Amino acid sequence: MQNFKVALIGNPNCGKSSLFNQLTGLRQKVGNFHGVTVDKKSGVANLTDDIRVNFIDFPGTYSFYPTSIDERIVVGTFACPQALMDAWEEGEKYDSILYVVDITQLEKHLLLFSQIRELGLPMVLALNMADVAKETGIEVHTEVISKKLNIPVIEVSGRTGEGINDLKKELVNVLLQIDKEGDGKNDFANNQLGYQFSKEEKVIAHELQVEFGLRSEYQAWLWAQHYDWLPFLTAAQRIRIKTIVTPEFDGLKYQVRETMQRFGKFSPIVQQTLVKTKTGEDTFSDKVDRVVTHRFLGPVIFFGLMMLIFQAIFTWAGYPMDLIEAGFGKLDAGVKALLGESMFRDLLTDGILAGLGGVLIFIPQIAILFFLISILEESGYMARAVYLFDNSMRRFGLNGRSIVALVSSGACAIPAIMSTRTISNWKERLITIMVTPLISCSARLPVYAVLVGFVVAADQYWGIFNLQGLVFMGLYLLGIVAALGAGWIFNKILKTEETSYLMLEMPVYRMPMVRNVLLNVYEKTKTFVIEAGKVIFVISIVLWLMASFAPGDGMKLAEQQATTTALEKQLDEAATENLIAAKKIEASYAGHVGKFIEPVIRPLGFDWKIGIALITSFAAREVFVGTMATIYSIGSDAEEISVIDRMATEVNPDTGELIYNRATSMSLLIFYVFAMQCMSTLAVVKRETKSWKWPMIQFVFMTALAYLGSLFTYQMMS
Amino acid sequence: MNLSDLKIGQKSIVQNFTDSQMGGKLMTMGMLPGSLVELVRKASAGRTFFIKVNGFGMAVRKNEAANILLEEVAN
Repeated sequence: MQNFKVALIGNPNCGKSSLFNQLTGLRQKVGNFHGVTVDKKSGVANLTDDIRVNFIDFPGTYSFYPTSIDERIVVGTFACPQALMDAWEEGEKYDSILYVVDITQLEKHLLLFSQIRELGLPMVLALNMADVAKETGIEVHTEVISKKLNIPVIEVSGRTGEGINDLKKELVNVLLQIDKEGDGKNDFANNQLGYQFSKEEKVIAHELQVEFGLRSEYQAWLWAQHYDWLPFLTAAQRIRIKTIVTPEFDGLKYQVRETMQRFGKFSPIVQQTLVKTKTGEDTFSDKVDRVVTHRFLGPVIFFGLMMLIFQAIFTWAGYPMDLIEAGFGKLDAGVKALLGESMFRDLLTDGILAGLGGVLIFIPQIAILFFLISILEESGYMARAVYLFDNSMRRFGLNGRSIVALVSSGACAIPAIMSTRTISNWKERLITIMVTPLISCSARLPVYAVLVGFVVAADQYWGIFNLQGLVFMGLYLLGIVAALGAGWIFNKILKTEETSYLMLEMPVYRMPMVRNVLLNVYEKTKTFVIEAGKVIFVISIVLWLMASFAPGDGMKLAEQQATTTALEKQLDEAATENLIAAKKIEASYAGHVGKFIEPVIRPLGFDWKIGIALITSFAAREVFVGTMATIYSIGSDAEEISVIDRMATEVNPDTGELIYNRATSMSLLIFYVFAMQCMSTLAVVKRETKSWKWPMIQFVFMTALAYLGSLFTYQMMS
Repeated sequence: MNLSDLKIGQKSIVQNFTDSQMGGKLMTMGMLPGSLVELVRKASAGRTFFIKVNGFGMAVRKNEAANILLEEVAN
């Protein structure tokens, strides 16, 4: 079995992922590109019985002049000579490049192609979207192109699968010709696309080539342009390059010259080989856009869509969530039956299983939201949304592209934060990351659901609107307003010289490919489960420890006292157990912390019991309900209804008044809207911003906001 | 004239860019001197433009459009 590594490269929107999915099916996984927080999708395919290829899907890139971190990956990887590759990263040598273009945008997409071509790796050119070409009457003379570019060219369709087998055959041919010992040379002397340097450029390129033993002058030129950030260079090398390159080096001027020259060379080739047999533009997209990008209708349609989406989630997610809950219930019962009563069993059921269950129960909501968002993205609609909102977003320090993160955050902030990688301006990206968690995510819903009932009765209406529904909407709205407000403040505080830009492609609408959408959903959901899951799991265990142990023999005492009280009150077995559980948590470390913070949270209308729930919520917000149930001695696997009933009768021992009156409940709700209680989110923010500084700032400002918001609400309402 | 002077529905040919950094980026996206641009519509009180470059759709800000120099078009 021969193993090869092939890079999939192309412009954004060329349908590369569809092709990747066609080639690798489910045998793909997502990792990271070395040293950067950019997703690296890799997948395996056996092209023949003998040949196995590992395909790496690179982020869509316009050229070797990157304008975002994503785009840097391509040039950062291929500007590195094979020799240095070994020293820099283990085993990242690419045997060949599969370059993908959108056949309907052929001319545009060849810029990067012509640049990569000069680096000497064997390549195959895939003209993707052959199906669209047929529909719109575009024909390409592939044999002619192949000859002119001196490279195998195949027409394919990532959607229909057409041409894939031919593509595989060509790839195999190319791979088999590679001399594994040698260097896979490509002769560019006759290649018409080679860049002709100007005199002054040539001096620099040549000197660099010689000094560092690079294969081609063009590769040396890339070093000259990008030496300050190319990841594989040593400090010594950078200094050396800097002296060769000289201070008068006008990178931009050369970039423009190179771009124009290259287009000048391949545009004629494209014009000679591409024929449009139908005239007229794509009217379907234009018709849709007339409505969807209308200056007033557009935003209205967007908000309408958002409401539909969230409505759909609530209706569709209920059933699978119940299934998951039931499943975990059975598991819990099973473990309890299997193992005898012990600390270990409790750790297993109340710590680990409860923690896991708490994460997994959100999968239906998150999967459905990402499914719908993915459809919007794949169809091309999201780009229109970015167009509509870019200007409004700017005054809040955000970019039009931030809208994707904000909407995704309604499911879970973690994949939302990761999606900010397409925002190239550091400040805009940072602000998006900072404010996104203020958008109400799925995890807050159980808390809202329990508490809303204490603020507003289920049967109250305002006109035709269910009051509870309105309060829900109000909470979501509050999160959005807070996010924008926080953005506005950050925008005033943070300073940057970097220019911000929109310049976004809005491709013709296309039917979302089910396969792509499903794979996308799978990836994002998996991210949630793993990223959030890891942290929640660990914290659940820690909190379980805190709630199960007490200083000294506090636990034993609590149990004894509870048992005595139960006997006095003649409680049945279930009620006794519940009382013991309640007293135990009161005596535990968690209980101590709760009582300790009570003075601080009293002005918010909270008592120490709520204090405990606030603390346990730091694992994950939804833990609130389970904790409440335990504290109120209902048993942690209680139905929400019983928790609500019990909380409704809870009375303050000092004042004799209901604890969960309107004021406290509203205050608690406001707290949950604003508070940063998701450790997993903080962990992801740290990873994306590469330091603890920003997550800490985020934690502080959100907690402060929550405290003040709560305080204000409680004081106003009581 | 530049792209921000164009009226809705008007077309023209790109001549050059006044900001070379933006110009560089636009070129990599396929907008070159000689490309045909059309202003399709605007949003956000005229601050964001929906244009077509050689037939493909693109969203640009008004200040980005102001960078793109075009051949004169009769009004």
